[in-house]
Amino acid sequence: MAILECRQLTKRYSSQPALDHIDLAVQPGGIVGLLGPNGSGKTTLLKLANGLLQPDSGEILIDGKKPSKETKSIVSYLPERTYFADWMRADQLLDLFQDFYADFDRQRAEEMLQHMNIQPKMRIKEMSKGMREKVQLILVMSRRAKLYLLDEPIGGVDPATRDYILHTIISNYDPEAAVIISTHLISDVENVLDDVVFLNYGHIALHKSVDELRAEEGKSVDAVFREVFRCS
Amino acid sequence: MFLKLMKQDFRATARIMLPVYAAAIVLAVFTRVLDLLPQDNSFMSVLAALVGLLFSLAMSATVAMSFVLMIWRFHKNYMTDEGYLMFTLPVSTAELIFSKLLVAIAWFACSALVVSAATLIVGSGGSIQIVGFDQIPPEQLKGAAAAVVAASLVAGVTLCLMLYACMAIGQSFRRRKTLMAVVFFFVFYIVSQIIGVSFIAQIIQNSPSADAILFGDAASMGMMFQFIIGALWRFTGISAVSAVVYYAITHWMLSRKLNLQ
Amino acid sequence: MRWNIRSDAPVYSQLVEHIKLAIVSGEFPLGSRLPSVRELAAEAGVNPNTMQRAFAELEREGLVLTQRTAGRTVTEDASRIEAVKRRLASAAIQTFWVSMRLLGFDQSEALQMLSASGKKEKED
Repeated sequence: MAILECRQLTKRYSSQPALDHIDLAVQPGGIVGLLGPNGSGKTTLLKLANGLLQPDSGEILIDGKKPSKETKSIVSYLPERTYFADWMRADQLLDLFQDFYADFDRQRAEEMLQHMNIQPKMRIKEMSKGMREKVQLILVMSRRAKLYLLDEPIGGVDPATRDYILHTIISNYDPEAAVIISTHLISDVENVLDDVVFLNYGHIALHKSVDELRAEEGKSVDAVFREVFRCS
Repeated sequence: MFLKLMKQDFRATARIMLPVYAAAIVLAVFTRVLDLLPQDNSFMSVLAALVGLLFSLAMSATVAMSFVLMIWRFHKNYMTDEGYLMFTLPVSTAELIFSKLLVAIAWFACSALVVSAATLIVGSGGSIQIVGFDQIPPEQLKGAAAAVVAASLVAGVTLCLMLYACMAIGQSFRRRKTLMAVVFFFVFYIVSQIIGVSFIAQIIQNSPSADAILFGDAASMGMMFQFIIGALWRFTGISAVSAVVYYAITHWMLSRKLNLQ
Repeated sequence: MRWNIRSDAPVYSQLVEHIKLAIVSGEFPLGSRLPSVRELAAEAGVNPNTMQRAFAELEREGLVLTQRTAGRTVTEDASRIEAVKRRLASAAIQTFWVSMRLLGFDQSEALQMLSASGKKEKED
């Protein structure tokens, strides 16, 4: 069964739909890139998968079920913004995740934090922006979830951290889980992706495997993207 | 899960409430101590006045704080970036609302206790007499206490849920979220006032002892007492109904109309 | 090992080539145990499924064996590796001829330049 399935999924904010009758299925074991310009509906899709938004029509299913308390326990979400309270310490965050998520691997998280030289007693407000993002990523990736939804995971960080993040995503690979990466930094991630989905203002413009696309076009996904989304 | 939510909430709010409580108690003690010392020079009397002033400020702060904190906490934790965490935790909307509500009520109760304790500390030299209390049989007094506690509790719950409902409605709008929350606050306030006034009018109309009380006809303390207790319970009932309505609004807004930016 | 994955060609075929080269050059010696798919994928910065497919191809070509207890190993069959080496070498040579022809050199000129540079290689 597909881990994530959209059936004629539609969401409107104004007269222009953010998502227009989207049909999509992501199988376990896949790492899928959700690519599109800002405002193309990527974040909306991820929010719908998390139950943060309700569809206007159509449906979105996680492991065959509508987004609910149950699906939230198998979905690990990394939003674009940091969602921790300033006053919390790194070790308190570990406590929080351990409390609420049965699939949280605390040891792994602690190792990764140590690796990144983040002290357990450090408060969020004492950390730089990059550090906060790393902490959040570490916590999200330390869960043994069935679906990882990463919204711009490499957006605001330096190249070395980008490499580390992609390395973490690959090492974390689980054939029973799927990862959806929403980004506009395509050339950095294309090697890591199985499939790419081009989202063009509410419509799926393309859904193919990276290798298929490269073989057909003789270009990188990044190059194809620039053609498809050319601002002319 | 629910207890864990409450644990998180207590952790976040205790850091603010406990220092306030500590300040209130300390100032109460200082006020009492200064009271006991001789006030023969101007320095001492100025100091005593100052400390007394700070004490009353601390009392107001304690009460105000638990109220403000309740609003602030709901907003900060559910309607800012933190909402991205809270609403993706594997908990139901009901659990999210109830955990905040129970923690808020707990702090209201604590604040009431702290204010009472502080008042007792400051007034522990004197004595309080309420005229006529010795005339009332103890069972009635217990009944009155129960009515007062129930009414306060339900009033507190209703107030919280009303404010939560306003905030939940406000956040569903794309723009002017705060404005809409305030607008709906006034709407709810006016509606509850209308209901409240007609409720009082009804009681006055329907109560058999109303004539006696209004026209001051030799009503014994006991009868009036009973009447007031009855009114309190009726008020509690109506309050509870409105609390349920506010809860339903909050729940619906947060589960179907969530609009995190 | 430097994994130089070009972005304009399928990842899978590039991985097959890279690993073949590593085997042929002795970086992954005869009969040795290969790192896991995930490890190599992380090293190369590629999708583990794609690395898995590359390994499947190499198994199909008989360069890599999967044993239940020992995991994935390089074949012990030296002649097979030798055959691959020869194929890769002749492909490199073909590329040389094509390049020289494109530059306008005929075969004898090309051969001359080749042996001259060969002597220089030996001296260095």
